[in-house]
Amino acid sequence: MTQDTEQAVATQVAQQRKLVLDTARCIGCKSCAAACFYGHVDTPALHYEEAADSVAMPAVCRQCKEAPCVEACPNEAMYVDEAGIVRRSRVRCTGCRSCALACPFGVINAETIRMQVAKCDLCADRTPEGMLPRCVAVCPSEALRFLELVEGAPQAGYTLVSGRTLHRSR
Amino acid sequence: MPSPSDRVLPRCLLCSMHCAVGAKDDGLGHVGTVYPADLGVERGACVRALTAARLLGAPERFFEARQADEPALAADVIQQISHALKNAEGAEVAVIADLNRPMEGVTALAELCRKVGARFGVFAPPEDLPLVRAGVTGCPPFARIAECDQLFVVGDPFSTHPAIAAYMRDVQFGARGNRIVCVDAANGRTARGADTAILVPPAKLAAFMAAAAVSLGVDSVRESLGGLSAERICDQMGLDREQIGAWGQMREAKAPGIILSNSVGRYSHPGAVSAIVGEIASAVGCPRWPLLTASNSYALPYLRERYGALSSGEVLEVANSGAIELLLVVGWDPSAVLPERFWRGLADKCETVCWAGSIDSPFAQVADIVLPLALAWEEKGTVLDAAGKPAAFEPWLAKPAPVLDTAALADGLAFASGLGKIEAPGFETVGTPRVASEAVSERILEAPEPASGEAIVVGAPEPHGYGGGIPLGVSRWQRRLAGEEAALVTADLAREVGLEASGLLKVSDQTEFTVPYRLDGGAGRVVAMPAHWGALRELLQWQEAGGALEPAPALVQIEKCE
Repeated sequence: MTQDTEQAVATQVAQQRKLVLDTARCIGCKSCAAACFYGHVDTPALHYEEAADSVAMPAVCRQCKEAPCVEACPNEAMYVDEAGIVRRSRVRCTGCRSCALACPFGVINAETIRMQVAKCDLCADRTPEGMLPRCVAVCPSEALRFLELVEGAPQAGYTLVSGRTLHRSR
Repeated sequence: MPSPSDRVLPRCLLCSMHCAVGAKDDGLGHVGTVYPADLGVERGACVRALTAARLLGAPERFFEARQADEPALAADVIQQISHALKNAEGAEVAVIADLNRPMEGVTALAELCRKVGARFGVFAPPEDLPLVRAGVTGCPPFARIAECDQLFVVGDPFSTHPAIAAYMRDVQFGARGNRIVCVDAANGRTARGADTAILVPPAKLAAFMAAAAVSLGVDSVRESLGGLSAERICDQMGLDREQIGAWGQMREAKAPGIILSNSVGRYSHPGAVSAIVGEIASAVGCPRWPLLTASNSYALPYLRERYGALSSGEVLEVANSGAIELLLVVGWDPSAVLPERFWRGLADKCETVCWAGSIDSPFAQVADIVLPLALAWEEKGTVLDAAGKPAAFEPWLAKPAPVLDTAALADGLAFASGLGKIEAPGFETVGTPRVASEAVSERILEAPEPASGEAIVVGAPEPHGYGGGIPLGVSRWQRRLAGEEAALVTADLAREVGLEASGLLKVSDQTEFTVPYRLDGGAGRVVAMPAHWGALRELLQWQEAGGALEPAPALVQIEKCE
């Protein structure tokens, strides 16, 4: 297999996989946020939310197929790449926060760093090479996983419903 | 994806626990801790590893020696210290070494002290000392946690040792759906995630554990408390008898297990809590997982027996009495761990305070001489895991040329003193004898009761960033790792003092601090402060018996800030 072919296969694998969070397994240690900060120097795209004592989870981008953040961006800085990952162009982003306001899940941090909004790219420097996104790699409780999921079929203990909701298969 | 319980992990030598952080087994039983040289992040990297990786590039590092605030040559400084070593009466010199360093360096310093007749002390994290003193350092593999049908947890391991979480979650959410019972002094991450959470007033946790032990028929604990029944203990301490019942289920469980997380300032009488957990595990015949925070803690009794090693607290006590002329502190930073009163006055009490350290800190301002030392992760050598097994530690990065490592510092001092090369003995046979549970005494049945306007302050454990006593506060990165930037106040206390959902709180003991807070669950009058806050160290009650400096909850005054 040539290097280009290997790269294409790896990219394809990355396309099929989804970043999922099992809220029951999450222990709130914030290792994911720390690793994101470590890997994306000073522009961490993952933040951690706590609410009402019992709910605590990392806010991770769901890479929406029809992403409101892309629609909302006035400068076409947000786009969906060929792998289906919602990306932000560093050059075009002006830090207007439109994407953060448009995101229905509140995962884009409205805080701007150097006049730019941080956006998860699923660790584009790692996943095409077959490695896990940093937040998944460091999760000690395996609450964050990077799984290949097929609609309606239970896999790896989970079932994907409506392309969005993850149910634990017991 | 295989369940973590299916994997057999070697013991990571970063904190001596079974963990995948850079721990590699060559298949022949030789385990080493190897972290990728480029400091990338891979499966299992814990917060401690991330902190360590970041510290390796911290801008506040020392790269040159300093004397009287002026740059100096390390060789000249070593020569000068050696001169003082030779000229001072042995007992007037003291060396404190960081136990987290490879054993070669630690034992070389111990040998050096023995030859010159100096006092030798070792620093072990305060969280580890109660476990070591109770003889409960041996820790089975984490994978065995999944074999339990009931897990009894003391403290907050989700915070202190996140690496254990996958195994505990497997117990809860695996096919058998087993249960976790957590007892803690504050509503921590583990208590929030447990099936049954028992919140006990901080100053009464040791008594609660004693009552649980007596109800389980642990005779040794009952005898230590003068034959009191569990009911009498509960009545005397105002504890809920029904809560003890949750622990009584341990006898009915087929495969119970106990996890003991050791958090700074979380327990009243931490030594007693550790000892009681050890006694319960022995009586019930179940495994217990005592969680150490540093490697080599297992070697403390060995160093004490072979070299007469003192604890860092004992050495500081002597130094603060004015009996020490030259104090050499190697590797750990007292200002990161202890309240100011233990180290601030050393410059006046000792003729020379020398610090071999890595990162700038308040203690560097106290020291007359500063020597640049490698970080623990740059030192090659042997460290001991929680079972006392020696293994190779490979440095993650080569140490920068101008800095020394612990063994090189000991050698340099020995040569300059005319002692030649130090030949430290091997430590393959280091063993921790199980000690009697002397820590369980009637003293644990005394607990201060907060009155109106008072609260009990405890440490809220955060993911460990411990690295040879390096403070978490040195960088923005570490503060981010530490997470909580607010003290947690129980609802009962908030109601009484009239606190809003968040704001500022005035906390005072001998000193006064203003801290941000937010409300949290839990009962009673409790303020839980992040473990890395200096204010917490100042406020905790440092039990100085035996120089061990065990930090326990303290009674403080609180007031709403307008």
